Amino acid sequence: MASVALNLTALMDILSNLLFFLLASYTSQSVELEGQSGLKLPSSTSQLALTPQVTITISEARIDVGGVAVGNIQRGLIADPLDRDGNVGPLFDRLRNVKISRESAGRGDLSDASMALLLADKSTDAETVTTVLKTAGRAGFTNMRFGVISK
Amino acid sequence: MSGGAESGEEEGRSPGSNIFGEETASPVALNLTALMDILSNLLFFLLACFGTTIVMGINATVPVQSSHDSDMADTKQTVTAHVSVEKAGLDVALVGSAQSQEELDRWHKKIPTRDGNQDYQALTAMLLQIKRTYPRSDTMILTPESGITYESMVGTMDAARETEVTLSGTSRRLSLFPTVVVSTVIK
Repeated sequence: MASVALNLTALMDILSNLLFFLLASYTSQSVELEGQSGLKLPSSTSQLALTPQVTITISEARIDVGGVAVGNIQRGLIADPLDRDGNVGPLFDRLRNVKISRESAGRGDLSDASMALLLADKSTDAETVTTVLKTAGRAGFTNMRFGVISK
Repeated sequence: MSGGAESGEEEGRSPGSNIFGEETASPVALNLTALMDILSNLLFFLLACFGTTIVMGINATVPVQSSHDSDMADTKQTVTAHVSVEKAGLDVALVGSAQSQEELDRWHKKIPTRDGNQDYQALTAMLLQIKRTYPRSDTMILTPESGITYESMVGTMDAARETEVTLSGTSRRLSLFPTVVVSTVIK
């Protein structure tokens, strides 16, 4: 039986184009969501793109800053006692350190110097979110960007 | 006739040579099966990731104590919307320094939950009315009650950010209250 030679050139072209487009889209996602198993972000209609920033993550079990644990969460609420100013102590210290290191590196005057990204599980209690926001604000991060899944 | 001439020339050539009598290279058939396999796998993997990693942002600020002038709305066309997210519903009130308290109180409204969920459509409709009356307004103070989920906060910010309106037969997006200040209930 004679073998049939298929011309796959056009198909290869299409596949290559799709591949490059998807690779470009994939790598442009600057936010690292790896290692955040169990984190379910709320969905939103917002179309505001994200840029690399200090990332505060509130998952079902803990609060992280850049992957370093700074607090524990139980049933959506902060499990650790707050300090006398109402801050989450380790979170405040960590953010202050980030802020000071930014300023000492000459990046304190940049437009996004006081901005942080908050990735919170959608079931997180609002009280936890506002406490984290207040702590971040007192540490110098008064502008917050909430990370959400695009609808 | 020309065909006859060509056939006459072809007769003088050996098979597998061109018109100059040179040997032509035999066609090379590339086996692309393995490459196609790899590309298809990569494609499906990236397509699967593409749909789940689109993360967007919503800007918000926290109140800051300042010695400068107050940021409170201070023109007739500007008010600040104060939206409290409660378990029973949404409480909308206006704050402004250029309006009388009576005028601001007329806008105070509670939007009860509908089927156990916050009524975001009613909130958008009310904020649209406010925006039409005070067109230079853009700031909303969001105060979530304890027990409210972060998802409800995001839903409220979505409802307050923009809406679709139809003007002269064409629909377009109208920005409502995109500037959000997240506040808290003082106990």
